Amino acid sequence: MVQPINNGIYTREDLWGLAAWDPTLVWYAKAMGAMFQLPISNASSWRYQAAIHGYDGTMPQLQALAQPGETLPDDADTYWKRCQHHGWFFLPWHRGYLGYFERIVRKTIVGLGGPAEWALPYWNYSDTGQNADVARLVRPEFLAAQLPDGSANALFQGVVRGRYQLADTPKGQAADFGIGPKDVRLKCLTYNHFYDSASASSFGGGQTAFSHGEGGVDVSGGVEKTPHDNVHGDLGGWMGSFETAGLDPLFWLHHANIDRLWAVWAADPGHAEPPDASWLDPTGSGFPYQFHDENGVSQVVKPSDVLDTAASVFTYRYQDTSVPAQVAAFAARLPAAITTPPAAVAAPSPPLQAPQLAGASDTNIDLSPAQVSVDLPIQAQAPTVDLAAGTGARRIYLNVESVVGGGQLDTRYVYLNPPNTQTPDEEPELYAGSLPMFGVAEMSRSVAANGGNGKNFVLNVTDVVAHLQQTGRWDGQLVRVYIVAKNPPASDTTLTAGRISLYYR
Amino acid sequence: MALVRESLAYATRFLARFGLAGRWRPASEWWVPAASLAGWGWLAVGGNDHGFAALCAGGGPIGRLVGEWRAGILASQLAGWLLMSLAMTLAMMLPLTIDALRYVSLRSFPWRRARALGGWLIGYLVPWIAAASIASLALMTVVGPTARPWTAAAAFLVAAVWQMTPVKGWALRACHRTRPLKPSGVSADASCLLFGARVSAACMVSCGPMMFAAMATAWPTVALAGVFVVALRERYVWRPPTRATALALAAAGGFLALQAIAS
Repeated sequence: MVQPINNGIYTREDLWGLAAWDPTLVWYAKAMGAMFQLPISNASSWRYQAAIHGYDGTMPQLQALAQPGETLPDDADTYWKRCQHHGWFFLPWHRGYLGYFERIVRKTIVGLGGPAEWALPYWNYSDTGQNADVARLVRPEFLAAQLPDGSANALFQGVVRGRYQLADTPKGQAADFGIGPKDVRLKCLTYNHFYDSASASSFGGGQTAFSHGEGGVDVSGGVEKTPHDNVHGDLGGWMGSFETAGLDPLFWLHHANIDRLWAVWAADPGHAEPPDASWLDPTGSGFPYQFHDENGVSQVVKPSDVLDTAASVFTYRYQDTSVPAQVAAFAARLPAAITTPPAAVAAPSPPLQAPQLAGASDTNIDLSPAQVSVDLPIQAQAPTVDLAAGTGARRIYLNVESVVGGGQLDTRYVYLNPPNTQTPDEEPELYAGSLPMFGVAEMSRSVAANGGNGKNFVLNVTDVVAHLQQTGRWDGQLVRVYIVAKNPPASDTTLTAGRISLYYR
Repeated sequence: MALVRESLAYATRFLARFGLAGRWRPASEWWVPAASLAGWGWLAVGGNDHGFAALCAGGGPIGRLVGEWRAGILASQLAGWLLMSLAMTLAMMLPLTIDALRYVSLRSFPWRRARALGGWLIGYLVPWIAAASIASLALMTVVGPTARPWTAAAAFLVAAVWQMTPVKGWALRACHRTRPLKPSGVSADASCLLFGARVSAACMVSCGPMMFAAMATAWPTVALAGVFVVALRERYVWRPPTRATALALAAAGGFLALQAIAS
């Protein structure tokens, strides 16, 4: 049995390990209900907490945030719209955000007569163990209109979720929102570096200043892309937008899992967070990160403060931070010649040389159809790669650049050289990764901080190319990139990529 | 003390952009601050501290240039004039483009990286040099020396108002905009050139009014240095201090107006 608190350290438990209507969930629902009633100007209100992530008063769908006639807080400029994405601050900022949110919820629960040891559960949708058959489903407690005592269930009432028909889900059962295994795979845990060049994949994200929008060099870390962005997009509704995501109670459980994955990654002796002062103790415009604690007092969070969750002011650990079995499977796909021994990557500094461009499309690509195939020529001047021998390159990255779009956007799945485009999953080794659309619409607008550049995606395709070479289907001259929509595209979908490119390192 | 600490942190991060204090060197852009410093040096040596007005009145190389222009063009002096515009552009505008340069570098084949950067720089610098030359010519010939103090005052006030317009905000964001680059051949050259030109246009819309105002003062090099600091801050901070900048520009305009009255 999990001890909710041990030596003063709270334990965040696995959501799917909780019993039906576990007190953790009942009290979470009650706290959410109470916090939702507070005025938006109150730092402990649910809506204030959501606005910290994002807020846009001009968006009509944001009536769930500020109600007409409500007074916005005077400190909105200091505390709201601060979510950090597409860069190396994504993880530490959200850790601080969740930490103070958890403390506020805990205090609310205590005030309602609940347990002082309450901690935020995490939603381990990637579980391939004992909860594999339900891990990716939304628990019934988030779909029920009432709590066991008959009162309204805030976890469901009024919460706006995506397109999947809840009416088709029998009462009392979990719901399938279409989160697939590819949407929650954990290849990101195999990335050795916390941050890297904008054309390479890393665990935590590209090196940025405060927030994103730095002229095309901002890029999501592997964990932010998948599973973070995928789950946001699959749930949809409030979760589908920066400005409303924090309203959904699942947001916090989702981010608790993302935070847990950081703890899993960091526990590997071959991994290390950046030693840079510009990450550990960032200064300048937008810094430091500020949040209100459970007493309404302003607190400052620096990444250096939250590296050890148990030793931080939040004093928590996760029930399970073991490395998932699938991680070893990903690592096993790489030839021994290019598998870097753990000792060699123990040093926190990433390599100094950015990946080099080897091939690129010469037109933009319309990604709105259900299936798109792009032939990517590799330049003759590019080195000849033999991954089995470790020559030419040790890592290969596929970049999908400047993805802009609007309308109803859905995830795209990418394959390299699939022999059968009707059933590309017949050979899963050729699956390169996904392009989740969370944030694409926002980053496509000219009013976005990056001027409407759209979103850049980086897929580490080293294992895919290794498989193609092993099976004699890599000629080093042309790569066929096959991109398929997860669901039939809506008629209002517009989606283009500025360029698809291949990088060698 | 906090301001000093923030300034040092800002300077460190700024230097990091050129690979001088950072970790990433896709192609080290050390030449950007070097070119900028060279530009500032040229501006300083060129006698701008005495003001265009004084030179225009007949003393110094600029006045002679204008006279000889009216008498008949001497190619070498025209070249000198264009070099002055180039120096100003290198000094002030090049450091604002580091993200775009890094993008071009990252997104180009290594064997044509220098050509891509060269194409981008031509696309970026030529419009600015042309604009700076036209502005200088206008100040020297159309405005005339006696009207310069009032021109400078009015220009700063216009720049202050411009700061608060939605167009300024749009242009500032557009400076961050990148373009997918064609990978090779003439189309790659064209896409780099066009990308540079688009950033140049956005830059001009964003910074042009306050740069013109600085050029119109009696101490253009000093004024341009002040505008440079403002432009740097606008370009690289998370929330550009638009209102504070507008107030500063308005204050400068007010000061110059009072000076014009007093004289």
